[in-house]
Amino acid sequence: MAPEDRPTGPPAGESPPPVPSWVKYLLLGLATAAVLAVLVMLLVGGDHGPGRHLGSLR
Amino acid sequence: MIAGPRLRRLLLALHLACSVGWIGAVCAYLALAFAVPATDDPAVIRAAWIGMELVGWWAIVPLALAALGTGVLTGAVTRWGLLRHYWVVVSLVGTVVLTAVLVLHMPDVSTHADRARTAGEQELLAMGSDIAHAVIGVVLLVGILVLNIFKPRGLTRYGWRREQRERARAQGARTWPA
Repeated sequence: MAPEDRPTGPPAGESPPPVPSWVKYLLLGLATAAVLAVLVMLLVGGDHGPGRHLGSLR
Repeated sequence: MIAGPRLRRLLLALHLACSVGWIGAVCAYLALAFAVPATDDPAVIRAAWIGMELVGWWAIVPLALAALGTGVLTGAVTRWGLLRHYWVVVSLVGTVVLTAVLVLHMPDVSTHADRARTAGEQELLAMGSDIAHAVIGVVLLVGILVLNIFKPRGLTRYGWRREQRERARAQGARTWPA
């Protein structure tokens, strides 16, 4: 985040700007990747998942 | 508080060094992870797991924490803020999640490395590797890096309210009688 690249001000308006389309596409892509990962884990089997990592804390 | 240009550049240099160093350290980890399935020499498998543990705890974890710390500090003392722009929020959330997963995953790596230290040849040859975590980590880190370079437009609701307030304050100051 370069300090020289200063943020440009928003266009003046009464209502807040909508969520940008790139954010929507990014969230859609991440959700799709997460669902695919879960499906692969279910189909392939194994004990992987967040619980496995939390197990080492117990 | 908005910091002066010298402090901002210093923080930016530290943040870049830590972030790019983090990616480099994960690449080193990945090289060791790929060595496990690529060999049939038990000594190489043992060395690779011990190396992954060392690179993880002594390079990846400190660089991740430093990248997160310097990133939060940089956002806090510049006009970008931490919650004003979507690209900053996405970068912050991504970095926090990656750091948390990393810290939670490293004890598993230590367990495997401990096993590799004492395992016999047959057990070593049967050991798996840790390629998936490192590949996912590199992909997400490079994604965050690209986001930080391109800085796509988009104010959050909070950022928009802050801008409106600052705009109103600036207008008030201009119309204040001398």
